Amino acid sequence: MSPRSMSKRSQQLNALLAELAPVRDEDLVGEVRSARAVGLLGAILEAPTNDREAERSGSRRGRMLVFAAAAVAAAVLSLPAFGVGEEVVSFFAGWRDPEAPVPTASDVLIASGEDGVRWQLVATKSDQGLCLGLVYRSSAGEEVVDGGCGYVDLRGDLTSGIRGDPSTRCLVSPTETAPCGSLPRRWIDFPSRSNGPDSDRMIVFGSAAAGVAGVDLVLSNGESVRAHVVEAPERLGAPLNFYWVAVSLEEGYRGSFELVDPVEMVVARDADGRVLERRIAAWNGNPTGDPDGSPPPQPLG
Amino acid sequence: MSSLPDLADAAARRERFQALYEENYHRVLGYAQRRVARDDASDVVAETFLVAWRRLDQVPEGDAARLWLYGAARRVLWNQQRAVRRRDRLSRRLRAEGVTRPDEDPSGSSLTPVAVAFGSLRRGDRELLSLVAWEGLDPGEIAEVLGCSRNAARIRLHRARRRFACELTRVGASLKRSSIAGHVSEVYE
Repeated sequence: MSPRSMSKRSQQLNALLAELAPVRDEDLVGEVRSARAVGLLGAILEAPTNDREAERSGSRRGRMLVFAAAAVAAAVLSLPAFGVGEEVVSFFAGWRDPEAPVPTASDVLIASGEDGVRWQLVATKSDQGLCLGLVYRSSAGEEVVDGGCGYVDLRGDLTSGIRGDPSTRCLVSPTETAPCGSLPRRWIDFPSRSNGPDSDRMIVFGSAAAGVAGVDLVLSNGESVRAHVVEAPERLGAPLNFYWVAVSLEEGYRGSFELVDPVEMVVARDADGRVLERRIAAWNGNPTGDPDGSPPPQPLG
Repeated sequence: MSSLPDLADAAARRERFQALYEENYHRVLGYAQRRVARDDASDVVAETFLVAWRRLDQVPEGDAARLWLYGAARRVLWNQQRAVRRRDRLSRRLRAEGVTRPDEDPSGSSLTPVAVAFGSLRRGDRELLSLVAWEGLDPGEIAEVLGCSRNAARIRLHRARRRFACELTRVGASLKRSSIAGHVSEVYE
């Protein structure tokens, strides 16, 4: 980047970040002549040049041809099929982080579907509030959860296993926090998203207060899509609704997986179609997530 | 049986790919090694160039090829990392993912405040800032990598810088306050 196109302070920021880089390109120039690089080049030049050839050769994903060991492939193939009989795959399975939430009830299946691979939307009560995650098995055979746990700021009479700890600090501006329980209750939560099951589509999902009968997502390309809305199963014991929709990455944001958020706004509607609330992603100038809410933060420093 | 023109095309294709590979291998390797452990980085490089081989017709000529490869590597990396990622979007745990190589500092205990601030950003923000600071891209080039408009890239970069500055302020007790405060005051102007 030309230094003239950046302010001095942006350059300072870049300099701070540059120091974090564990390696520089200049240090790697000779790597292309390493045995590994030469071997890789030879393997690639022998690989099929398009999907049709790759399928014919028995390896749709060419990377398998280059690197995967036969033992790994055998292990993957021996794994049981995911989601057979809609058995719920635990949100917490394999979560070894000592700070991980502790489940206080069984996982509850909210929805399931198939977009590339089978997925399940699972909700669980925990000591940190509701956990909501999209569970699927990756192409490598690993169980993956995209989602999270935390305080729920939705309207309704929610137990602590759903609501979470009201003394948890929530961000109300870039520099301020406040007890989450002191903040206004909402009709709808901004969604989580996962493009794990299908590389061409992203599954967007979230929770909403009871009374929300319709959810529209406004995408970054200006299009609007209608989400599926379901009531929480009785087993969850919470007056909540959940929503989800699969968004085509091409429609949503031209194939950019993570860096460009495909959802600009979520709109909660009642059964008559009236707008209950519109919510935007936090930290886009308005940390409350309310498009009509407080103004952007004041200058600091 | 292949005809002579087919063989000539195949040879030309191999030659072009080899040139692409030799010119950009270190860049793609650097991109990957700055974001994941070395072993994983090797996989990212392998798959990125395999994608390039199979889609060579789509790879632009010249310097634009580098941006195309970054875009491909980013997708490969994302596909790889999603298998091990479990997010807790509300607890805002300070994480160093993408800042240090996991095999070097699994505990994250020796992270600098800058690294902590950077690691606490959303993945998308980290990537935007990294593309500038580590790969040296400008907003137009970032737009190419992300497949968005130049204006969108500029806006998102601006927001990412602002959020980074906020995080720096939040963790910045031992940082150079003058420069950080100066940055923050600028980005909100």
